[in-house]
Amino acid sequence: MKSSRKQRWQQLQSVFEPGFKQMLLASILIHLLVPILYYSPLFPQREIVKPPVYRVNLVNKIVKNPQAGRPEATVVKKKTKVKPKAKPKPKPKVKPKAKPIPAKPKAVKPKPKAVPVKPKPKPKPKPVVSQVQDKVRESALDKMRAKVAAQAHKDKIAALKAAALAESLIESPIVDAPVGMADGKGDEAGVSAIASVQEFIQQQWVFSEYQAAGKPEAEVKMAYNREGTLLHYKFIKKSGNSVFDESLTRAIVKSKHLPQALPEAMEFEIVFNLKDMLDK
Amino acid sequence: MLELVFNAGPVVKLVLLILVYFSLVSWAIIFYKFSVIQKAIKESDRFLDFFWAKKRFDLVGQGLKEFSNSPIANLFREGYHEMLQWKKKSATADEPGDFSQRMDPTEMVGRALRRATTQETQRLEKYLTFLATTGSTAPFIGLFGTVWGIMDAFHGIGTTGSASLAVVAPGISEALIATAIGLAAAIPAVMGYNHFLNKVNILIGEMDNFSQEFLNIVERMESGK
Repeated sequence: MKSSRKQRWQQLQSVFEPGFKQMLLASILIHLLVPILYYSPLFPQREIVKPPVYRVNLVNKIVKNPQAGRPEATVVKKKTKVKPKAKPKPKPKVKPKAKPIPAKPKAVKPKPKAVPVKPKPKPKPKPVVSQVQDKVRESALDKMRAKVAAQAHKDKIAALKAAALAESLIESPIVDAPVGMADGKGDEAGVSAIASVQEFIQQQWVFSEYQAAGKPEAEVKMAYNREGTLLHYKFIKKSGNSVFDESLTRAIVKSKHLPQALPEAMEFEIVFNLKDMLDK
Repeated sequence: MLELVFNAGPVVKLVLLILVYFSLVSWAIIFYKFSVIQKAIKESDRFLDFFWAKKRFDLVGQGLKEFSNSPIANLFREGYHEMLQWKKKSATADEPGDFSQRMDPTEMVGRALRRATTQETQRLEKYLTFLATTGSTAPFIGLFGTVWGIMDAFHGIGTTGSASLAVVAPGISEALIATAIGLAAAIPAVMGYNHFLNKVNILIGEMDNFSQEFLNIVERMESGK
């Protein structure tokens, strides 16, 4: 009797009753089966089909030894915008405006005449004096108007000349420069890898200038393989601003796949500072 | 799916671990209780047939080994044992004033049966409290993980300064997996708890009925002496 009571107490106090361990094992196996079944062909995954994105950079090709020239195709874009605005201006605007401007004051003349003529009959007491005075006034007004019109005409011509001069300056040396780097000394048309990588990372960078005070600057050493994949990176010098460093790390990790391949596996040491990043 | 778990923050991961533990133990209890209660019901049914067929306590007592999982057989064992004890005492009680002679055997057997019923009920209900705990707390633990994950996600939005759907959605998705796993752990636990509690109540009813029948037989035996 005593021994059976002890047995019952032991049974009640024991964590694992006989047979419970096997059930626990079965439970573990079933839990392991769930993810295996989920990823098995029995349950096909719904693949989210993303539209393919092709990035083709035909202008800023990364080369090993870039030649001297302009580094970015974007420079051309800015200046080509100026061209269409400047060209049509001189031809259509100068000719029609130059003629009608002096003609306008003449056409205006009869109007002031016609308007004051009608009220004149009312003040009859001073007819002779008022007519003479009016004529003098009108002639003085005509002269003034002609002067103002001539001045406006001159100003417009001067502005157009200045615009034409500016356009000629823009078109001449910079836009026509070949694709290369400003400090390029090689002979290949394209941009340097370091500039391209830096620009790409800066594009991925998300930061608000209100999050950092002062002028944080960090130097990072990065190694990319030939396909443009980031192998490793290391902060040579941290900015001291953790938020800035974190955002830079995120940008580097985000840009671990460069949009185009490099000429060879490369290592860069790039200095990122807040001003450049915000001016990107 | 698994990426969501691996990309989650440390607190969410800890919550997920706790929930997986709850789920593992709950399912182990469900399997264990299913087997124990099924055996108890089947063997009790067979024992009652056997009991009413034999009509003699000593014969029933000899065949008890076959019904080791039946709570009603255990009840009979305790009652029969108590009855034998009383018989032995009353046969050997020569000294005047021996208390065993004055005691009513029906009351003694009745007490033994009540004690055995309590023990069997405890045995049958063991582990069920864990299922109840899982059913009631797992969704809240999951919700805690989700709230924490969403807090983290919003903190991330504040740091990056971008509130686009692409930034917000992954964090919330990672956080919601905690609630999903909490519910996945709680739903079978609640269902199992209700099912087993119902079966245990049926068995308790059967044990009470058997106790009354057994006491009736003992009383009839005593009055027929």
